[in-house]
Amino acid sequence: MSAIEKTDAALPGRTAFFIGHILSDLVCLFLVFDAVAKLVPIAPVTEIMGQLGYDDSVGFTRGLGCLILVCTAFYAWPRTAVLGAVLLTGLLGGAIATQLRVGAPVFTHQLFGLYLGLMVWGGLVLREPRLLRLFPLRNITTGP
Amino acid sequence: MPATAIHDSQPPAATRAQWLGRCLCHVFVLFLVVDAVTKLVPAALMTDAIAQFAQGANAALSRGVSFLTLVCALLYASPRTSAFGATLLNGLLGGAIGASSQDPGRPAKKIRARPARPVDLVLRRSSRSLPMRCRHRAPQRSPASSHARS
Repeated sequence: MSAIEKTDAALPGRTAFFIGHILSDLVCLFLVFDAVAKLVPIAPVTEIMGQLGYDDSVGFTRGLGCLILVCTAFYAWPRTAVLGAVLLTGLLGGAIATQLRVGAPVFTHQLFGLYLGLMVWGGLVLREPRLLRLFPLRNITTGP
Repeated sequence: MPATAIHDSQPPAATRAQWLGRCLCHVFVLFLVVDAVTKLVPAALMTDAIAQFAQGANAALSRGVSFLTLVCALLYASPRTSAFGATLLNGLLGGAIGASSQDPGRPAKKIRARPARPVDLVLRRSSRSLPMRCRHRAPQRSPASSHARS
């Protein structure tokens, strides 16, 4: 009973909802831009892929672009936004590992995935306060 | 509320699923702890593997990754923070997949890809957020709806 009341109290205000939307939209915009550059793929992108230790063939770059686009589409569609955020978390983890591997600057390159991940989840939580029952502390009193 | 009705009508299935979910979690946490401890020591095998992974890798990086793994595993193992831990582990495993896919000589089946960890959470506790979220409703504070739900 009290949990339900708490959930109702945690409905997003209009400001929180719009800030959440702006954060999510910014992430989506960046990822779509990134994915399209990989799908084409433009020459600097394949070059950087090679420098980062990946296969710099057109096929691999397009595959990665496709993966980014699919994850972003899941995140952008309201019904699958949580699934999309989970998938994007894995993707950004991969990005962090890649930058770590080549010894890139910590705060601008290595942690860029972390910043993007915070935007992904922050934008979602602001629009969907029900997630606060799971993050960061799970509400385990409402069991079956 | 329909959700409560579902909980009440099938308690045995939920218990079995919870049990399975718990097993999966324990096995996974065990794996992570073994992985972290071998990196923490650090065993020669792991240092060699991590040296292939990163340029200029050393015992310090090995310990750092190990520490990160342990923290994520701890958060995942604790019931209150398991959802948060599962998300962090998602990122960690994404990194593992990314690191493995960078070596073209390695066969695909050796890539440490595993299903997204929130799968366990869904089994342990019938979460309604994954994989299909309930239909989204625009935020509005209407006293009528809050009265109906309580």
